[in-house]
Amino acid sequence: MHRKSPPGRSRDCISITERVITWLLVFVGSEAILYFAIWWFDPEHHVRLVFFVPLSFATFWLMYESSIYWFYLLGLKIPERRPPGNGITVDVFTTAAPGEPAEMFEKALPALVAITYPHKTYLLDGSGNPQLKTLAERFAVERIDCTDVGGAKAGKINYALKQTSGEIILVIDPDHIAEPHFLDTVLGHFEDRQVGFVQVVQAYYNQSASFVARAAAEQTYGFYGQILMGMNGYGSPLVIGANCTFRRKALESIGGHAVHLVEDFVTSLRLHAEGWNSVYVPEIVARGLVPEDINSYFNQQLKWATGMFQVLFTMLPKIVVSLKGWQKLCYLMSSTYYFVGLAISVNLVLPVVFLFFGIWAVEMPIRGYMIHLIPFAATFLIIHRYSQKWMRDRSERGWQWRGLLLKLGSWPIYLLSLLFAMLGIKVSYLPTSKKRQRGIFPLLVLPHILIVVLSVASIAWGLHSPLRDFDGTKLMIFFAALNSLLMLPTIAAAFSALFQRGQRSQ
Amino acid sequence: MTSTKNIIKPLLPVFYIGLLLLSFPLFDAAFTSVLSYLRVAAGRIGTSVGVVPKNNAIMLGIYKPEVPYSMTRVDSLENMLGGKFDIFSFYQTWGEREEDNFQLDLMRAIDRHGAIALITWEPWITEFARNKKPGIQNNRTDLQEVADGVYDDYVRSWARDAVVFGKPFYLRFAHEMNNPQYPWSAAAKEKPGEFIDAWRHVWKLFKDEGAKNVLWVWSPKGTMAHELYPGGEYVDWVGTGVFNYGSYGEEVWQSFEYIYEPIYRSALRYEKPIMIAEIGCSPLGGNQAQWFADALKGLQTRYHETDAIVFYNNPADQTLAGSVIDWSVDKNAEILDMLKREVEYGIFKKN
Repeated sequence: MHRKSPPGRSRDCISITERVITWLLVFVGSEAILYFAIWWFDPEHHVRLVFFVPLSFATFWLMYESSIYWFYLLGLKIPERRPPGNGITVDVFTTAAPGEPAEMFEKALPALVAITYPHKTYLLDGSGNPQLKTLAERFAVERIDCTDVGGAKAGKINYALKQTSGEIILVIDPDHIAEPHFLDTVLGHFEDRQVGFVQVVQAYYNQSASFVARAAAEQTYGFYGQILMGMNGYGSPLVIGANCTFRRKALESIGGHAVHLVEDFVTSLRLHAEGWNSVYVPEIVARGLVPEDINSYFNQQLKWATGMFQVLFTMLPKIVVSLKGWQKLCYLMSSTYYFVGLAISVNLVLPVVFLFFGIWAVEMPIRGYMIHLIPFAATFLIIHRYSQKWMRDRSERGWQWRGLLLKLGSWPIYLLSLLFAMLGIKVSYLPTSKKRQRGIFPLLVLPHILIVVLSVASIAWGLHSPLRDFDGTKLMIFFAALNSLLMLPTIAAAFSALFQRGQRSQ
Repeated sequence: MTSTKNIIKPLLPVFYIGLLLLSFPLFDAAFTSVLSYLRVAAGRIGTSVGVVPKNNAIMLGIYKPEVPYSMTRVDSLENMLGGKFDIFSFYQTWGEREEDNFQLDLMRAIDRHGAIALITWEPWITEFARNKKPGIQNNRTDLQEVADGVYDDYVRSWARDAVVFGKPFYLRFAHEMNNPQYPWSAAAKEKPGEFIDAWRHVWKLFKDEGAKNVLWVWSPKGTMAHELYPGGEYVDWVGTGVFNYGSYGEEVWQSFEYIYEPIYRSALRYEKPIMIAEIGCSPLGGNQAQWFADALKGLQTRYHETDAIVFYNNPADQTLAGSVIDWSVDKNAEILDMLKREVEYGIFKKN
């Protein structure tokens, strides 16, 4: 029944040597940040505070982000394998929203039925699509009519909870194709009475469909690899809405699944605050869909980022006291993640301001800057490279540069989210699009085009202004050029339909 | 077991940060030595002659009033030290007299000796006929006039001769432009833009004439007068002067580090090789030889970006107060012994 080495899981434990090496590398990296910081804040440097403060924020935010990754590396924990006992009652929920294609369910439902551990499968149908009713009958899936149930996915789950009775509930998105041993992988962990939910990897089968799909998938490699494994070590793996397994009692103790833009994040926050533990199993037991076009990707990011900011501003301050030590830190770091948009935009704008108006944030020697950055840059690259061994799949190892490029291109979305969250503007909850949206999206990349135009113009201006002899000008020209180049992949993604001429990309 | 674990766990971050701070000097030292190793390695690969000294050594120079008119005494000094000077420094003013022209013969004499000239080129304007009108008392150098091209003929002919000479040399133009005692500085202080314009104008005239062999030394007095910096493109070296007046007049004895530290720190930002174009220590008020020994030690241990040091070996320097200061080092046996050792240890370029 149990395979000796299930696919998608390359390592079972972390050796002492690996721990020591990781600690040493992270320690040296911390020293490198300190080394740079001491130099950066040298009182000898002439600074213009109005610009120096944002520049320092941008610079150190990016360093802080890598140190978060290092922090999780120190906590890496892979749980032991636990085969489940007999007689656990399990309900499997999958939801349907209006507009979702029936073909998707035609693939998803039989896979759910085919999961080997005894269970009952439910389709929480809010689509109003008669085809789905037929499909449910065909695969002998019990259909719960949720046509008039509000609260999006979470609302349907809570509605269904009242009509079912399984001890354990697997909530899985309909774009996911489950493996037969899904439940065998997770159920054993519920033997610990304190465990409220067990999370597995979210993986994809369409990541080679487009640049955006590949990039968006790359962004998740580290998250479902080192970061969640690290969270596991600190006792705070999160709920991921796509395929999480809950204990009914746990969900009931917090009044059911949370209804929120980031319903999964809020649900795990409440469960942890209620004292439940959680387990992350770094195994791929289902594969789903990742956004293939820039429109769907940006919509997904807008939803997540706005939700996370809302949690940070309104929910976290109240609930944080009920969390345990490391959990506090983990949740704080997760909910502040999207400030990265602010850091990126500062880095995009400052060179332009400098070249056009000669307003500098700080005067420091270029060579000194390079020299003091070397230790950080070197340790950053070494740690990134070294930690690739903990990727769940060999194919995920590498530099994930596409993911980085798309992240750098997401800054307007993250800024918008911050604005929405601060002004209390509501973003409607729509499931992330499961279908590729064709067409070009010039409006979505207007900010990027603006940055490219401004950067190029500022370079031209800088080359002819009286400033051209200033030592910092060359560096700023370099940054402006680099910034424009970094925006190009995102712009190209928005116009990719033009190059494909209606052919389906493989 | 569990209870000790519970006490230790919250302390872990504190312990980590403590260790981080405690071992920081170690990290700093380790990385600095890696850097200096790389610098030496880069130096071995070779930098262009005359611009930066090879093998991370310091270039040694001297100003002696009779050099380069007579080289005999310098020969015997060099024999005694067992090394050769890299730089000979002399001073020239602007003007229309014969001695104000480019001194081709002197430059060739220095070149034949195997050294590089450092010309401190002072834009006095009193030696130009147009400024010798009776009744005009103002001898201030109008930098706007320099920038506007009033003295272009003189500058161009000087530059043309420099092209004829053809070998690299240091040109320390309008030094101490922030020292109000020089006629070209007061104007500079009021309108830094005028000084920068004048510098760039002169620089462009040289470029026009094809004088690529000139290494421009921008050399203010004391800490760097940043508002007077003409820009990285127009400057090859940053220069300064370091003088300890000892107990002359109202002065008090000052260590080399005390004088040089702020100057050096302010000069680093330009990322140019730094030259102490004049260094002198008074024989009165302290141990002159020890002062120079400290200076050379400082250059090797702390002030790594300093690539040249030029002794201001003037036995009779007229001060504005009217007294005469003896800055010479070649009469003090202790100093000469110390220099000899340094030449042997190889901090200076050897022959």
